[in-house]
Amino acid sequence: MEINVVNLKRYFGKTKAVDGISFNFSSGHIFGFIGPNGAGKTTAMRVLATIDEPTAGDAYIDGFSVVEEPEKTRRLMGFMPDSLPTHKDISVHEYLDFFARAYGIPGRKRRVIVKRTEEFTNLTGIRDKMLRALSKGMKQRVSLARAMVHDPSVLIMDEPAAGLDPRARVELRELLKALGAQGKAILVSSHILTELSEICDGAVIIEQGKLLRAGTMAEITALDLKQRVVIIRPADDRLKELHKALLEMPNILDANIAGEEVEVELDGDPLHAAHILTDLIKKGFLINEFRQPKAHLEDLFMNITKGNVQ
Amino acid sequence: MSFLASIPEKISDRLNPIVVKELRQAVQSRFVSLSLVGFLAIQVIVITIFVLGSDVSSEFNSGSKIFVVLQGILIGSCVLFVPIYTSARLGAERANVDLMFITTIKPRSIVTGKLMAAMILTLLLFSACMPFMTFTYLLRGIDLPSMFITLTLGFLLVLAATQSTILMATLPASALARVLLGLAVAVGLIYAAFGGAYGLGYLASSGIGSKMQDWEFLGSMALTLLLTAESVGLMMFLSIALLSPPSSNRMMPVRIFITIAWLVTGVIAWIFSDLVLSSVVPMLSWTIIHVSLLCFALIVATCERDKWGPRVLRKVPRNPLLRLPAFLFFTGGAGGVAWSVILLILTFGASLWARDKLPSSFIFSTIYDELGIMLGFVLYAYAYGITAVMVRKIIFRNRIKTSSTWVIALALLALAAIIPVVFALIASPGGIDHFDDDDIWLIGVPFMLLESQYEEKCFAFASVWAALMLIPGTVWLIDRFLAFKPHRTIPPPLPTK
Repeated sequence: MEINVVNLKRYFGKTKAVDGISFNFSSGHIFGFIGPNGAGKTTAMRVLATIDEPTAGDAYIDGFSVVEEPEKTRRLMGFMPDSLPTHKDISVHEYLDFFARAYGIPGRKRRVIVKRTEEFTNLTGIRDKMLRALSKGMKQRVSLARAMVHDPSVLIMDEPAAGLDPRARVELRELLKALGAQGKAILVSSHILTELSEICDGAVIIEQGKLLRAGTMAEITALDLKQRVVIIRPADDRLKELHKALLEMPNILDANIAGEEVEVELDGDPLHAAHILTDLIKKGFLINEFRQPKAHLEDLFMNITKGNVQ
Repeated sequence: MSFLASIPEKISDRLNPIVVKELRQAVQSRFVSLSLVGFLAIQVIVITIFVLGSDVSSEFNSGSKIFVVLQGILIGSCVLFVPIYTSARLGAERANVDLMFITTIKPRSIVTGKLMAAMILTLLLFSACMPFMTFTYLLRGIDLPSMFITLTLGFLLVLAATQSTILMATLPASALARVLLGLAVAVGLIYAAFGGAYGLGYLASSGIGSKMQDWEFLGSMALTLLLTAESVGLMMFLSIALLSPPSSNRMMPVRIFITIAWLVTGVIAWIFSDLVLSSVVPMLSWTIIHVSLLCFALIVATCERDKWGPRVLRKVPRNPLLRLPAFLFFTGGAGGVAWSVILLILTFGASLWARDKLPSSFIFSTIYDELGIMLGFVLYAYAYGITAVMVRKIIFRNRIKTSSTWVIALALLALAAIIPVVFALIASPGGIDHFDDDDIWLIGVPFMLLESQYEEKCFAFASVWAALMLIPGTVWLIDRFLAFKPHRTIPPPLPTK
């Protein structure tokens, strides 16, 4: 399953909410859709969800155009908007059953699917509770269950973590990881970039409706991180000696002892980290751990965007 | 699972999901439960007071009296409660993308589902009232046809009221406009509730059973049913259009419905005029109703989108011969105006043809002469509509939303009503006295057609203005028709490796 966004534009009068963005991602990938407030994320997502029509350009889900064949793409895609369910006098189970019916899933199959969705999203215990009695976190979970009740291959989620407490955020993160592991293609927008860092293997960064970067984290990091960090833990007690040796090596910008590790800052070339490890081993250092912490979206975001709004 | 055991599941699968959801919500709703219990309590109290307070054994019409009161309570509460409950729910869901477009459910299912659920709720209230109604029959003074017919008419009134509030709930409006609209709807419903209760009470107590062979009564009943069906159908199609995404071909079903309803009701009106009643009244009613409707449709058409998106263009027929009718029926301002004008011309044509064919009394032929006034209104509607489109396109250079063209038309009407008057007051030494019968200061106001001293001048003015607007209107029409071509499909990009 491939999602291709091709030169997508959405103008509101003179305001170019989305101005010619193109990117693609595929099954099993979780892509973060990030940008400052008013960047055009929600507008682009609404177009992808067939709620809105683009001024120009198109998006294809498994080859089906969201503009020309919205009915087909809706079957392949689940959309979780940034608003919570508004229905009050209905239980969680009846609510999910309604959406399964709305997708035309017949009787016995519907019962199985709704039950499975409730189990997956951990809603079984509250299936008979009224929606009005749920907390925001629970409602978000119901909203996610609703988006995936027809087992879509693509999930588009607009600010799913907004307003959630830390526990609910962790649970949501785990759910997204599980969905990614099931092979679903997920596009998720959020302001909480540290959260996205943990789960995303790619990102689409936009500002003022224009695409700034799109690709896997490795691709974006290679382009945009001016410096990278390596954590080195020696196997013996030669920590100070290791620190001194590192400071004498080329391409190292800084090195600091942090507990039993040395945190090294080096320039952006990914090959330099490999050379440092080789040199250390040649010099007889016993290395227990040599790792590069995952690039934080926050750093990337700050490097790439300018904070402009239209 | 045996065949018999699987039947309920098969029925359940075929049910409209909206109906299932709405009824589940109604069952859980405290408001519905309390209303139902309160309603039953009122019925019990009323019938107890009547039976204990009057000598029912000696009175021969006590059944009729109690029936009228019970029916009044039933119709009054249903006309108020059911539409408000239904539209309030839809209005709340409309403000959210919860229901509308994120599933494969169609706007048609949403509207019909809401209406069907409301009617089931109405039937529940009616059935709760049935034991009391049956009791009134035993008390004498009322016949079964009166009971059934007035209750059926009451049910239709609830249906029409509910559909009209569903239409109001689908209108895209700001919070303030929604509040104002809600107040207007509430006032309308109160009138409908009291008027319906009073009218049906009168009908029930006058004894319908004796009129069952009176063709005039049956004809008027048939006309009422026909008009109710047409208005409910029209409101339903309009609601569906309003719920459909703006990018869809949402006006086409509305135009097809109006065209079919126009044709069917026209034929029925002709049959009633010629064969049943030998009177021009049905034909004349048909003309008045459809001219008013099509004038409204013309103004609505000027507010439709001028350019079509790919979602509409991909359905444009490739055959040039089919493209012309498609242009008239598809969503689009110019096509919509052309469709309205064609139907208006046909309506006037049919009406004049009927006048020559039918025997008519002097009074009716005089009324037929008033067709000229209606034609004047049509000319004003065309002139204001096209002028508003041109103002939007040329003066405002499309900076105003197409959907707001009606505001420009309204502003033009206001200017036509105010500016000449102000000018006359300033220019005339006689002040307000300058407005005597010979003046022409208010010829821009269509309603002045109803004033005999203005009628001719207004008609002449509207004719000249409409004739002038015919030129830019035709240029606009041709330009849009030439742009009405099938969408060129761009193949999706090849998957990346």
